[in-house]
Amino acid sequence: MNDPYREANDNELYRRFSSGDTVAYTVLVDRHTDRFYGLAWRMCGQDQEAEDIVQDAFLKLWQNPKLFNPDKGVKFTTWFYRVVVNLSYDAGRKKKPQAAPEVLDFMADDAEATDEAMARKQVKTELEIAIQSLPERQRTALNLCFYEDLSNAEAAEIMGVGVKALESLLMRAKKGLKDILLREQRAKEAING
Amino acid sequence: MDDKELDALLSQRYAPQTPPGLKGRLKSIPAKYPRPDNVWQVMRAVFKDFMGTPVAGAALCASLALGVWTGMEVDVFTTLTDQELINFLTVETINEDWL
Repeated sequence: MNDPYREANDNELYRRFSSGDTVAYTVLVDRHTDRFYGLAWRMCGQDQEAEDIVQDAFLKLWQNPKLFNPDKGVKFTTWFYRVVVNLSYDAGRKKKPQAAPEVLDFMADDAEATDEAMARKQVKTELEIAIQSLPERQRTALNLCFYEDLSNAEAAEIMGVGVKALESLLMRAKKGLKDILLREQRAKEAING
Repeated sequence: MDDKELDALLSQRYAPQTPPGLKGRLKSIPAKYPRPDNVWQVMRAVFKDFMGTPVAGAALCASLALGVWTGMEVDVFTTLTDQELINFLTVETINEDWL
């Protein structure tokens, strides 16, 4: 039998949800939690903080359904990406500077111990630290375009900038990353003689 | 490092996994934070059963709804008069049309 909830698009679900339909809300949660948790994590690099950001976003959604109008031609996901990005900015401004190990949490329970696996982890760790050290808007542009599979136009809409400005942010992010990684490499070479 | 090398490196980035239990916690938000419009749904549903006895029914359904909404014991509200209930609802900025 067809399930009208599963077949409904996000904006249709939102219409139902905003008039109090909790099943529609549940379907939106099922459909999008992974995506928004992924973005929140990439924005902050920490499990607990990413979880808090996503919970805050869904709570905001639940408590203020009128914040989004599904009939204005904007996709629900575009709007909700913006909510998650803004909450990530807020969380980033509130938190104290983090020591590197906070970023390395994801390695903690990985049992692999071969040299090759350790080297891969090292690369991922250095990359994550480098990305987290980018200015927030550059990091957002990189996360949206590279990891969320969004077009530049969609990413620009989420960030509230023009496509050219988005491309400039992306370019600066990549240049910044290259500089950071090169500095790391030189520092390592200097230590190793 | 050229752009291709950087893109290859970026594609190796750690892929975060949604923590177990997060979806369940998100799904429980409506139960933990009932919205006024949900309270109204409860009130309407209860009120139907009390058609024909509007005063008693209205007071009871308002009590139940307030209990759901505020998380307080229902008994707290069943002892209030209709006017006290209305005052309470007004203070809590519930849409007066609902009354």
